[in-house]
Amino acid sequence: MYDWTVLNQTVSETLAGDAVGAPLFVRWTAAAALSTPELKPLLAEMSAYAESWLSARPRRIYATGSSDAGHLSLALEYANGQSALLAISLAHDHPSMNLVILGARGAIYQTGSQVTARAGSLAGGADEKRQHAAVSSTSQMVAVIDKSLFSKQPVSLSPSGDQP
Amino acid sequence: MSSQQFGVLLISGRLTHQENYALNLRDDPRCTLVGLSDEKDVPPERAQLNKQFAEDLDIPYWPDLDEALAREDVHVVSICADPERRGRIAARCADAGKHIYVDKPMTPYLSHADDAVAAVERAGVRSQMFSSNHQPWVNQALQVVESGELGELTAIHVDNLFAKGPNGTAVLGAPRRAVYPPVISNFVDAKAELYAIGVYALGFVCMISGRAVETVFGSTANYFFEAHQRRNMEDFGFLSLTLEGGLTATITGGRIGWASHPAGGSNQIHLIGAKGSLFLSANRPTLEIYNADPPWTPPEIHPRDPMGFWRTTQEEVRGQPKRTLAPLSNALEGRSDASYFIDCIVEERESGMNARQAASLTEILLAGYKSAAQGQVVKMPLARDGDHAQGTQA
Repeated sequence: MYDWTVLNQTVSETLAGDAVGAPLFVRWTAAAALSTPELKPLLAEMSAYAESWLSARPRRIYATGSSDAGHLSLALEYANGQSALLAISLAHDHPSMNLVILGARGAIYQTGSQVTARAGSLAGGADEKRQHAAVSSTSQMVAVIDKSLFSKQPVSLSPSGDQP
Repeated sequence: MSSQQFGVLLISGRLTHQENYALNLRDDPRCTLVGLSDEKDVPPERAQLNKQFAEDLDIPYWPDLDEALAREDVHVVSICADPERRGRIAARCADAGKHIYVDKPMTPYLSHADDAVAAVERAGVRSQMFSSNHQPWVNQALQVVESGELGELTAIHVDNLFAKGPNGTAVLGAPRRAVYPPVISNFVDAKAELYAIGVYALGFVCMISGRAVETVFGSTANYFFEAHQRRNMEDFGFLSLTLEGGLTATITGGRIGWASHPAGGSNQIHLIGAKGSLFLSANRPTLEIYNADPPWTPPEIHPRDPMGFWRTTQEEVRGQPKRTLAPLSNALEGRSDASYFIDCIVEERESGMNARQAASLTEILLAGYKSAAQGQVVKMPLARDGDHAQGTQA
């Protein structure tokens, strides 16, 4: 089994090698949460990874679903025109994921049950400073997700990632 | 009409999906292709393509649609006219008492969609828009949901991304400025791909969930092709939907380029239920095949079909199928969408993709375009205050 930090490392190296051209769209669906309180932080973490892969800040997000129902979706549009659709749901003892990254000249695909969320680390891996920044970023994104879920509307973000 | 036998009239010929639908209808032993027709005032090039296809099939070409529809040996009409003309022709054929099999999407115009539904229901004929809803792997998704194995369905995520066209030519770096009403037309080198391909994914969501869409958030992009960008038509788009009962869905639809998938494209469904989830793909389970043959290369670019839309043009440039993946399939499962429609006529039942459902998909897609242009969530239904789409040939 591998976790999302390993996935991130491999995806990042692949993108850095210009294997698919400029990354443009991330479609990532994961049945990965062990409990409903994990759903929003994990969705925010997926957003942090997508942001890293696309090298762009989201300019607008729109969230649907509910933690009570065990499923959340997040649509993101980025400043440079890229976009992403992320979704997280309960693993129900059978974690699985499907990842598609579309690039200008190619695509990356990963599907299966051998990559799970993680065991206690957030985006950025084991490095303490990066992990602290990731936790902070994740908290901000959870707040934006909550705002979109409550308003049932997209939420615009400033270039720095904050709500304007 | 003789028992269980149907005379089929084709509308529009080469360089349309009629190239495929006509062959599927001809292969059904209950059908006989009786002729090909179109509106009298079609441009000369369209008339020529129609004549050519009639000659290909060795059937007569009747240039006057009214005369063709007056024939008593015509029971079913397969309509593949340009998107802008398709809906009004569907209504006209239904008014003439013919069963209608129509290319997807049925029409980009709300008024034409409403007219087609009214005509079909007034005439009491059967109707079906082409879809992929009856493919075995999609039916498997429906069966799993109906079995209750996943518990109550909470979300559906569907991708329909076609690996065709010479990608890598779009200018990148800024968000697409979506326009509303959108440009919906078939150019030689571009289509509105959320409309043309996303309709498949949307069809899956509506069939599998059996619920009405309540809100639509959409986004469109120009990621891959200069031609789409030049014509102000998206090559990629997605929708985020809420449906009755709190169900959510997301779909993608787009054309991502020849080299972006080892087979025809990424066609997949991810079902999320209260008790579990299931991922299904048109390409799974599959054999993976590697050998000493030269690697697959994209076909030469055909000047009349650079994106690889049509069968006959791809045959002319000797386009070869990709052979890396060989999805497992049961020959008995390979029933065509056209034969499913003939079943509906024979068994006197409604198709799950009848004119009313097709009109609903048009409305959802248009709501997606409206959302993409306005940056807001759009509530269904759309107001009947305009056609919400602009064509170039209507």
